[in-house]
Amino acid sequence: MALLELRGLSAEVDGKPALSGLSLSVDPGESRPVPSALSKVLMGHPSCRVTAGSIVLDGADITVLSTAERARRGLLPSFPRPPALPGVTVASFLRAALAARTRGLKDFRKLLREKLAVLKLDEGFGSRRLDAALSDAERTGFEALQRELLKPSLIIEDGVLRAL
Amino acid sequence: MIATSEAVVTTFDAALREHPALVDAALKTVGREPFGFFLRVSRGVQLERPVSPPERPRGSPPPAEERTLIVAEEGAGLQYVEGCISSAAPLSTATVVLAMPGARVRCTTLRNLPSGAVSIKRAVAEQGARVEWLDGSFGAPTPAVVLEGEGSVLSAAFHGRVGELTRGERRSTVSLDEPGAEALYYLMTRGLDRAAAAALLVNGFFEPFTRELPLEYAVEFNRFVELELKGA
Repeated sequence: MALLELRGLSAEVDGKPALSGLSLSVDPGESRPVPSALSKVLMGHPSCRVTAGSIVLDGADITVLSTAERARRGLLPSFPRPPALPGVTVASFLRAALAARTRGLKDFRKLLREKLAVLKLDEGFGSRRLDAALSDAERTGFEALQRELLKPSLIIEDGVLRAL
Repeated sequence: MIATSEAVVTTFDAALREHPALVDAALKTVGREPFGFFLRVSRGVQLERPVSPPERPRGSPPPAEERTLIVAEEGAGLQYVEGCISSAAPLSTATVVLAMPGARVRCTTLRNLPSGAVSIKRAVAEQGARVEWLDGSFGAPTPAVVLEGEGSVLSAAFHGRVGELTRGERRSTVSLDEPGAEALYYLMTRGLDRAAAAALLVNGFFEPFTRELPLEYAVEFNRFVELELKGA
């Protein structure tokens, strides 16, 4: 079964037509170039409106689900320039993202330490504050850390879908 | 009651009986209020742990008023933590701090103020003394800390739909209805629903305040922000 299937998907972004009758399917392990507007449409960004067709993930129609629910079902869009989050650290960000998926999250500190070691990231990276722009290396590390912890099935990069 | 030669923690009535000269001297400086709780730290003594007023029995309603006088004698050092935010504060509270020359006082006040509450916070820092006051409140708008002499005040307040952080003259605010659309969306793409995303952002906004609090109070503060947002 395809991981992701778009069936005749048409959508507007900011009230202007952005996708028209797009159909495609992506299997696990596959990467595929797609129109860049698709990232927002797949995540249900507030500026987007699906006017026809459907988005099916793992056999379930997610076309009208909330952004958060789509994320919890395995979508993970990357942000080339993520917005600043004053007062929020790498650790508090990841803890909140995991808590949204797991009831009674335990031993988060231990889990984070393990993943930092796996990715050969600095132990103090968890305390890195997200209020200033991250360096390219830090951003790459942060994204890798998110993938390790959140275990997405589909990564949405600018213009490319990568099914894991 | 804790009473040693170094520090006195008692009710104001007892202090008036047992240390009349000390109380008189303090009142001359800070003005007269009918005080309920009294803390004095002797000259040069540094208290290692923060002091708090005696706890009310669980579930008991708040008293109508609460009065506190804190005196740090010459060169003394102390931290004082009062209030809680999970239950309503007394309708009328007054905390008055007198830091004698060279003393160091750090005062933390957390209040969940009922509407119409009157809350007086006053500090006098005499020559070479310094008073730092962390003032956090939920509910009704909070009156400012009045500080005479050297020191600093950092206030975090949360009322209406707005959070405020004030350091000295500088004030920044966050609206709970729209803490930043782009940041909210970013967090929602990580699986946080709207309330959880807003709570993370609002707690981030208050972080310069909460990082100064003892851990248990910081946790309570953050949890209260989350509750407030869920109720929205």
